[in-house]
Amino acid sequence: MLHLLGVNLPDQKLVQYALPLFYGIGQKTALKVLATLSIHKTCKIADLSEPQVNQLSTLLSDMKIESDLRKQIRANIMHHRSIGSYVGRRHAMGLPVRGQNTRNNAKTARRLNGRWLKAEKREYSSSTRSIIPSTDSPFESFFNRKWF
Amino acid sequence: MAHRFLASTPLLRTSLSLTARARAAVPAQYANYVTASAVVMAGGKAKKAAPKVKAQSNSFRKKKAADDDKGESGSGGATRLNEKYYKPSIPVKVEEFLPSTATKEHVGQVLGFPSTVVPALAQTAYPTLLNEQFELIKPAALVVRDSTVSFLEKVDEAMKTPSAQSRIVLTGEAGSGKSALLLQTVSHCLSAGWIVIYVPKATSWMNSSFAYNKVANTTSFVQPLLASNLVGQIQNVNKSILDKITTSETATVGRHEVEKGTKLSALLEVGVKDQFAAQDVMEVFMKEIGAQKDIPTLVAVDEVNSFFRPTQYLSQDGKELDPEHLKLSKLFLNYISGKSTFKHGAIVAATSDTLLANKSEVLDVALGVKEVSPYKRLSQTILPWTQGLTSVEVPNYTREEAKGVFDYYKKANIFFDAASEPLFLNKFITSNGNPRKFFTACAKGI
Repeated sequence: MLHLLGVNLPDQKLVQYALPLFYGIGQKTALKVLATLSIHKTCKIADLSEPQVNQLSTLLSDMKIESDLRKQIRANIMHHRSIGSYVGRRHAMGLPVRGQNTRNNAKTARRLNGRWLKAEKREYSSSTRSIIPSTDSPFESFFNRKWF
Repeated sequence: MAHRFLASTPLLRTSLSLTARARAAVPAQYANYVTASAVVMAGGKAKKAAPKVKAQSNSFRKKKAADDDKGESGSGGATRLNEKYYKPSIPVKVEEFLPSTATKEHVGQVLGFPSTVVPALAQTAYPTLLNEQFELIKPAALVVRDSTVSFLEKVDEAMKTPSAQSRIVLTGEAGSGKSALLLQTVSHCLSAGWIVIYVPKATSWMNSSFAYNKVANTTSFVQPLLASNLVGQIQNVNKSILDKITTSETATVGRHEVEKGTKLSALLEVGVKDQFAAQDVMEVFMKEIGAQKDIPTLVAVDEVNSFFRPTQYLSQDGKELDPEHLKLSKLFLNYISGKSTFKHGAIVAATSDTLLANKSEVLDVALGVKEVSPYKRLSQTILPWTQGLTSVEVPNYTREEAKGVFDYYKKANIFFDAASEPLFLNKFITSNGNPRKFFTACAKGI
C-alpha cells in the first residue's frame, strides 16, 4: 500500500487505474502522467522504483488536486453566493443551476447541488469569528431579502 | 448442453449447487475420464499445506467459494485444456524432424522436434494457438508439407549469402500454418548448427508490458528487462555455438568493459546479470555474429506485423511511439529492413492474424497482400522499413497432408467418433483444409 499525498494506493493496482483515486485526476490525466514519467501501462504500484515514486510525488504536488481543488471549487461557488447571483441562489436551494427544467427531472441537482455550501456552512459555523451572516434556510434568506 | 439436462431432470429441484449439478449432468461416456489436470490438482493440493506469511490487504481478499471448481479447468489457465471439449490423447511415437527427413518423400508425415532441439525451443514459449495442439498431443510434432520442403530449400540457399538478400515474410490466411512453418525453420536451422534468434511473440515487445526508460538527449527508449530476457534466451539456445566465437574488439557495455577475445557466451552473461547493460550487449552481439562468416545466423520473428504499426508505449508528449523509437525493436528493424546485415544468414518472419488490433496495413500493402485506395495515407515513418521484403504465401493443407495429419490424430486417439474415411472427408471439406480449423474440427468435433 503506497501512501501518497493523503491517498492510499493499493500495491496490486495498475498505476494507470490507481492515479484516478486522487480527486482531480481522471483517465486522461492519469495517462498523461504515465507518459511524462515513462511508466509502462501494465506497471503496478508495487513495481514502481523509489526514484519513480519521488518523481510521481513531485509531479502530483505541482498539480491542483485533492484539498486544493476542493477549496477552489468551493470558493467559486461561494463567490456566486456572496455576490447574490442567480447561480449562487440555485446552489443554495439545491436546484439546477444551468437553466434546466424543474417541472420534471431535476433529481441529480436536488441530490447534489447544495453540498458545497453545506460544507462551507459547516466550516464557518465551527470558526469563532463568522464574517458571513448565518442564514437558517435558503428559502428564508430568499423571502427575507429586501428586493426593493 | 448442460442446460438441456437440467431442465428435463429432477436435478433442478435438488439442493446441489450449480457446479455440482452441471457435473452430474455430464453424459456417462465423458464422466469417467481421469484427466491430466485432475492428477495435477491432486498433487497441487498437497503443496498448499504451508500457510501464507505475507499479510493480506483488505481490498484484494479473494472470495473462495466452498464448492470451487476441482476437476474443471474453466477459463483459468490458458495452457490447461478443458476436458469437456478435448479427449485426452495417447502419446504418439514420431520420427525426428531433421534436415535429412524434411524431404519430398516425407511429405504428409508428422515428425516431432528432435531431442537436441526441444530444450532450445523450451527457452521461449510456443506460439499461443499452436501451443493448444502441443498441449493436447505430446510430444510436439508438425506435419511435413510441400511448402515446408520448398521453403527449407530456400533457407538452405541463404546459408552462404548476406541476410539483406534473404528477408522473407510468411503470409497467408488465419490458421494456414505460418507460425508452424516458422517453427519448422527454427528447428531445421538449430539442427543444422546455425545461430538462431527466435522471437515467438513480437507483440509483447510493443504492447507496453515491459518497463521503458528514455535515453537522455535522444528520442529513443530502452527496455532493459526485455533486452535482458532476450539475451538470456539467446544464450541458452545457442550456448555451445557461441563458445566458439569471440569478440573482435574491446567494447563498453553499460558500466562494464568487455575485452577483445571474450567468448560471446560470456558477453551475453554480462547482459543477463545487468539488465541496464543488456541493450548494449545485444548491439555488440549482433554486430559480432554479423561480421563472422563461419556460422550463419537466422533471425526468426513471429507476429512481425507489430513491428510495422505504432506501439502502445507513449512518448513524453503523450503520443504513441513507433517501433523505431524503441532501441531493441530498431535493432531488429535494421536487420529486417536490410539496413544492417549478417554476412551469412537469413531473416524469416511470420505475420499473425490472431488479433485484429495488431494488423499492420502498411506491411500488408508493401507485401502485396492487400490493396488500398491510392488516396489512403499510409504512415510515412513506417513505410520505408518495409522496402525489399519478399512474401511467401503459406497455403492450406493439400489432401495428402491432411490425410497424414488425420492419421496422426487417429493414432493419438483424440476423436470422439470412430475415425474413418468419411469422417476425414467431412473434416477436410468443412474446414477447407485450413490447418487450425482442421484441428478444431478433429479435436473438438465442431
